[in-house]
Amino acid sequence: MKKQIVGWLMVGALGFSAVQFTSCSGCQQAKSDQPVMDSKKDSMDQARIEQLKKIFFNIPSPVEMASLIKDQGYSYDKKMLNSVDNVGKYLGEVKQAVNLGIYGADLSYASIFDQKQESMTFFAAAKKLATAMAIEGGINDSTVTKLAEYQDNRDSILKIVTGAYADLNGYLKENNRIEVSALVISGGWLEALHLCLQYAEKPKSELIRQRIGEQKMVLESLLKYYESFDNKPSLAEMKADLMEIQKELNKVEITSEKTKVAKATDGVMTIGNNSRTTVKDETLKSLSALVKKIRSKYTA
Amino acid sequence: MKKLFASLFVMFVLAAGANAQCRAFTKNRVLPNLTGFIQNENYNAALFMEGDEAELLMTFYGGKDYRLVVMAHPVLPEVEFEVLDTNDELLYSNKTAANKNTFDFRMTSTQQLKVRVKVPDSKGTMVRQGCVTVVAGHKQS
Repeated sequence: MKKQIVGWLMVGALGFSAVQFTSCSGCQQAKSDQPVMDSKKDSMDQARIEQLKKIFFNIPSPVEMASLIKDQGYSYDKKMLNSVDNVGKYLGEVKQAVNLGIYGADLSYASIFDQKQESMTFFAAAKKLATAMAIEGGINDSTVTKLAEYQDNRDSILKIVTGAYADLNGYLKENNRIEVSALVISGGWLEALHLCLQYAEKPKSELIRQRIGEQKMVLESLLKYYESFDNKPSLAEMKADLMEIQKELNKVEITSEKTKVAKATDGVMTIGNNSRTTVKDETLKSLSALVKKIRSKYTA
Repeated sequence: MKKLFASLFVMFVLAAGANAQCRAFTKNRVLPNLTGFIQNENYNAALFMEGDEAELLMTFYGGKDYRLVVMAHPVLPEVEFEVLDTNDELLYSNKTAANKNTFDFRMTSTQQLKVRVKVPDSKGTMVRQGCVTVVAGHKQS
């Protein structure tokens, strides 16, 4: 009996290893006898194309939004953030994933404003959620150690935080939990938008209003990404919420010209299409109310 | 019996390791090229075969400096990448660039750009497969 169990374990392990190693980074496969007519179509079957679409996705980092808030001279406001006391309330993968993203954006915001203690507290909340979700990548004890080690260097902290979240997303994508990664990214985007909307009500917030309007483009990418998942039940609620936000953002006017490429005096290539974004007061007001309502649903 | 369990353990460890290969490649080989820039939290790395192509739509904010790093595992031929606007106007190609893996640029206004990545087909008798990673970073003010 013992021998039989061991035998099956052996077969299982070999099978598992074989599946894994077919995708190893340095291996080679014999080419088919079919002549290559169109490399794009012939070498990639539909399933692989779909899989790549789910992996290759990018929206700007919440750090960039937080950075703009700081650059405009505004101060840190803890009240705008999701309290870490809520972390124990989040049960179920959807709420946990969205709040993992929300805490990530809050963590970026706290780090940008050099709030060392707050940053550590948000990281601990994110770690708690990641552990509850059995996510091993990125947010772990070694990152906590690194954060403590570099706590006096804001740029290093930012690098550690964004690197940890990128690794977390990598872990999720490599472990067939891509939908969870999409929810984490969505939570981060929602929180960054929420923060900008809070500051948009303050004086001299023209650039922040503009950045909010530009989210029309970002959300378009995010929703296009959601389409690649067909109708995954775990993404349904967030997709519907994002589509509600899109209705408001569609009221934003963006004009642009032909893209121009040039070289700046310091030698860096410049790219721009002179885009202009107009957000009306009433759009900002209704968008703010909507984002508040949706965010509360996830953070409650 | 002990030896058998040890072998099984090694097999499982190796299998799990193969699964995390692109993350390790990204961390060890790609991210060092992003020094001085803050990495974006998105993760874009996958196994490509020769001839494979992928496209990434990205939004870049006006007034910011960015760096794109596109790298393939050395087992693959040198990866080609292009940056285009949403009208498919070619803005940059690494084919003519001195540095084949990184592209630094400054956005004068916010816009969406496409990054098209292709692993050339070497037309050899074997199709090689390896990790391809695309990372973006912005310069912190």
